[in-house]
Amino acid sequence: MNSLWFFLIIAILPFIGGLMGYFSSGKRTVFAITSTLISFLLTVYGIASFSGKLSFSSEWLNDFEIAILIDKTSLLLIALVTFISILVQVFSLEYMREDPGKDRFYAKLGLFVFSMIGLLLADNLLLLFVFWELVGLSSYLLIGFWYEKKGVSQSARMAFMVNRVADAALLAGILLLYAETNDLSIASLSGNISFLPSLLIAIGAFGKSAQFPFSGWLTKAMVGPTPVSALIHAATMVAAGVYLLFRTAPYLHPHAMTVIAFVGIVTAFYGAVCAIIQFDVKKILAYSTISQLGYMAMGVGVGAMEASLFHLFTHAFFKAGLFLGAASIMHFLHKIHAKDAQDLRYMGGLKTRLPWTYRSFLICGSALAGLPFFSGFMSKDGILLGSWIFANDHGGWAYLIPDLGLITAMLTAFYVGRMIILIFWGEAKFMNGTATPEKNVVIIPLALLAMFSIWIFHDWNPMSHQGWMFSLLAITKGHVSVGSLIPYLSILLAMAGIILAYSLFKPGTNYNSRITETHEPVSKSRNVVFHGFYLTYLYENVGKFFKSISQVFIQIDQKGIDPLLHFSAVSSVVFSKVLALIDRFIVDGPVNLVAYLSAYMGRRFAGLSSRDGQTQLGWLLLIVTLVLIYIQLF
Amino acid sequence: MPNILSYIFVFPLFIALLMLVIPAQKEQTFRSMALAAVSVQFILSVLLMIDFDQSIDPNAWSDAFQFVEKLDWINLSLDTVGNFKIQYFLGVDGISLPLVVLSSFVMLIGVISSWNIRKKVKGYFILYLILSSSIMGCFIALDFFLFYVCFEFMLLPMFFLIGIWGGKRRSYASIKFFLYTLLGSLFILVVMIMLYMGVREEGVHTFSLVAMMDGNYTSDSVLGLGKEGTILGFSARALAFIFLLIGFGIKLPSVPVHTWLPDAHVEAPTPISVVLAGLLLKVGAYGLFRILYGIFPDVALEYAGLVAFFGVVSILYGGTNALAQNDLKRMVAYSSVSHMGFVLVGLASMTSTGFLGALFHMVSHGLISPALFLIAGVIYDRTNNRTIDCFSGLASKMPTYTFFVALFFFAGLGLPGMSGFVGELMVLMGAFTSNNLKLWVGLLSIIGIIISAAYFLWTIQRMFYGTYFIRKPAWESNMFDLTIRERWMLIPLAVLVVVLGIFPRLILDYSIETIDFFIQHLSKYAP
Repeated sequence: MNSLWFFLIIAILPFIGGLMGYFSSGKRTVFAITSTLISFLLTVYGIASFSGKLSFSSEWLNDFEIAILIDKTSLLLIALVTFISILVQVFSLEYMREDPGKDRFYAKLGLFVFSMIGLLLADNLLLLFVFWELVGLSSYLLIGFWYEKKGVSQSARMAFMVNRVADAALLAGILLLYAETNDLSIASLSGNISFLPSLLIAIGAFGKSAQFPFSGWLTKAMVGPTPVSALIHAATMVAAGVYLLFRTAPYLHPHAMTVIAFVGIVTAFYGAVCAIIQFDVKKILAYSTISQLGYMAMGVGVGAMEASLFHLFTHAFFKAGLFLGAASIMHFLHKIHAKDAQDLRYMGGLKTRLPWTYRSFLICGSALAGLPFFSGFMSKDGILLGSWIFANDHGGWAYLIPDLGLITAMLTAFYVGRMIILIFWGEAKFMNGTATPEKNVVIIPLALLAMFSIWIFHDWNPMSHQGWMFSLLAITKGHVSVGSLIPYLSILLAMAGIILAYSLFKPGTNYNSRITETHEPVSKSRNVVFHGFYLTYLYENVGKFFKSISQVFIQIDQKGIDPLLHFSAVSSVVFSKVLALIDRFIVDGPVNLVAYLSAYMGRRFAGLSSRDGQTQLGWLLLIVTLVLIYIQLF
Repeated sequence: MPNILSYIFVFPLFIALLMLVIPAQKEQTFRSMALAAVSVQFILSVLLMIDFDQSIDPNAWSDAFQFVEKLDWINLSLDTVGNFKIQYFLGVDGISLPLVVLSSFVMLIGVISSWNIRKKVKGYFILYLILSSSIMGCFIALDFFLFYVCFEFMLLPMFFLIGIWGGKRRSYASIKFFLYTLLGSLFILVVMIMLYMGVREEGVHTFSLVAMMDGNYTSDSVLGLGKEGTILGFSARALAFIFLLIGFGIKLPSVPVHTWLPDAHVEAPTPISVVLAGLLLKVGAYGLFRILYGIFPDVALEYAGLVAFFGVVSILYGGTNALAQNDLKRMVAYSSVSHMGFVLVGLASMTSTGFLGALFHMVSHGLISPALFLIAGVIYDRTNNRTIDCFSGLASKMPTYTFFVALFFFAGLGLPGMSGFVGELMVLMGAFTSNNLKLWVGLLSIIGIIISAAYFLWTIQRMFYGTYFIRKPAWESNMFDLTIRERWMLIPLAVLVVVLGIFPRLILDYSIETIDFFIQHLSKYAP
């Protein structure tokens, strides 16, 4: 139990299971599910029988150790990841039943679970980064799972790229920290990290946790299979940023913390506003996830890390429940009508057709809306209380944070109410196929996730904002007993939001009939909000900008550097031609002249000779005589 | 095994000579002989690796080398001028050993990839084996003259291999390649002669790199440390440094002297691209390590910013250029430029981590880029085309191929768990912790990893995702998945890339002592 292998097995088992399923002849998914289950059970055993901390280190690079650290927090989160992933895998048995790439799907899920567990075990920031990227990879692979569909690969790439930008910031932050302290162990972090690395680490977390302005990728990620959205893009991976902030927050620079708090609340508010007017059920849930992650980041920023962790925990259940519910709806509608199965305008009246989905949606939705007696209320209130204390401490502008937080709470309740009313109430539309009842593999995960969204599984006291998790993790900090109005205020606002939603969207209202008739998505004026403030367009334009720069660079290569070479090549050829001419006429000229002259002379003299021997002898005599005279005279 | 380095060096050459007497029709014989030659070379270098003593902690360069072989090659007595002496001087240390093994390994992969060459098989394999010997010679030569001979001699087979077996614009590319690198060699030649005149060993002028690295300058040498006097405002040593930087920079290649690379790569046949990217670029990088930094550490400290600047520009410029390419091979070629920029940054950091990182990155790139060229070759073999826009949705048609593409693309973009990440990471660690470099070097280099993700993923998206499409219906019959031979080229590379990514110390442990000594040696010159 106290051995490294125990934890390595927990981490690697889901991946091995996935691969076994992939390579086994029957493409059996049972391997993946069983191995994840074993992993989960081992983790639970670990939590039960384990106290304190354990760490293992190994010299990965020369003079550079990486370590894993096991404590209750990481074990609890591993249990959460494996638990939800089992439910998602079971659910996918039905959802992906007819997909030919089912085995590939389970293998990729296995890779994800492995990387996520690795991320949670890592003690060294660099090792965390390693798994951080692997988690990003598995997210990319799963978003692009249906890669043949139009737009899917673009979305997958955008998600990866946005993450990669933030990851680069995180890596820079980690390396700056390394340059400062020469140690990257989370456990031995101490004192204050200076501002720049703190900010860069926070930006890394913003990317993974889809904080504004990185949030656009999460809405794009919704093109992946919906169970994936439930596991990765709602419950676990996106929480990795919050987890990183949770681990490092005590040492981050105070200014960076303020930035985190503000980015968090802006994200929370942004997500909620965008969620209100969406028609795509997955988009609503995606924006809602963004909004809730904003709460968590804000919680860390205001110093209520424990509350954020608690919210991460509760949110994982109810949001996974909502996503699986949406998957169940889509799975159903795909068979019933040919319209867009994610569009609220083609839904309605599903209450009777999908009773279990309805129930779980209702419970999980209440948790999301922050109604008392549900888990979301407890954890969200912890964060809001924390922000209230923070505001009290800082005064003035800092009150913006709890104020916006409360407004967001109301908006959340409003869009939850709208979503549930439009999906499940009223009249069924376009339903001409036969209804298939929900299967057990669908019902059980939904029921379990709904169950864990009820307060009783977190604390006896529905008004507590701490839960048993705190005592399990031995968190003593954060016992705030503020006689504050915050909990009551948030209950009132949530109620108000729901009532407002009911009055606007209840069956038979004008709105409900209007949107089914006109298929116009939204009025032009609301386009900005509908498209999430055009964040994805912003990313696309950044990408286009880089592509045009690359075109400029290629021009430099082709019209700048190469022509320079060609010019020098051509000019040296020209130069050599000129040299050749000089050679031929100036250097060779006199030489040729001499040669020519001698040839000419030769010919002339040759002309002197004639063919008959007598003349030749005569010439010979003459010359000899002349030579003799010359010798005699001189 | 005595004289193992000589065997590694000469064996392929010997087989090449043997091939000369075999009739040209026996094509299969040439293939088998070439495979045997590089296999023996590979096995010998693995033996070398096993025998290599990792724990040697040298005090001077003269005791840093193992498996040393030293013979007189030319020893002329020119009475008044002194002795003219060139040695046959071989040896490996922690820097060259990984490259020796890498070299023989990539050569082996290259032979497997050459199996499909149909044109003038005899000539091809003879040139290939000559190339193999001369590349190996560069990594193990400890005599500057011998190094230079090998360095130059590489050009010859390369020129013909591109010029005869290449693509459409092969003659342009091969001449460009030849002249470009020849120009670089001239810069090196000048410095070599200066060094020869300035360095003595046992009272005799010498080409010995060891003596040069240990700084045995004569008192009258212009290259002596701390010599007064400048040329155009540069000291002689600085000038020599810049010359070598240009010379090896062309080979590396570094922006702005990189433009031979895309052309040579695009026109070269696949196996030659593999060797070019995997090994020839490493020769340039090795020259920077051994000669530029080994002999001129003091100037290197002074010019760290300049080297880093070229490194950063290569990373960003090369990467951005890769983004604009529509030819798969050109894209990979520019990604090489970008990756080799990391080597420059690692060197410029002048820290132990940065140096190790640069070396590791060389090995890792020596595995990844051959794989990327093999991947481009796969599609080219089938269709005679590698324009990215001509293909789409290949994932559904060629799943195994796509798997390897994704694996190596992710290795190329530095995904953790694969070797590319380790090299980049260590270089960046070096850059951030270095006292010589400003913060911008590290920060800008990190942007490089975003750009590399951009072009690799964009390529995956365009070629492999989406609905299946090929430009010409005629290709359809050739669109089969990887053959057994193609798998056997890619699997060893894939395994190594992943294993080294998880256990980088398999390589690093060989180099750490040498590099540590190197850094100590450098730090003596720190102001």
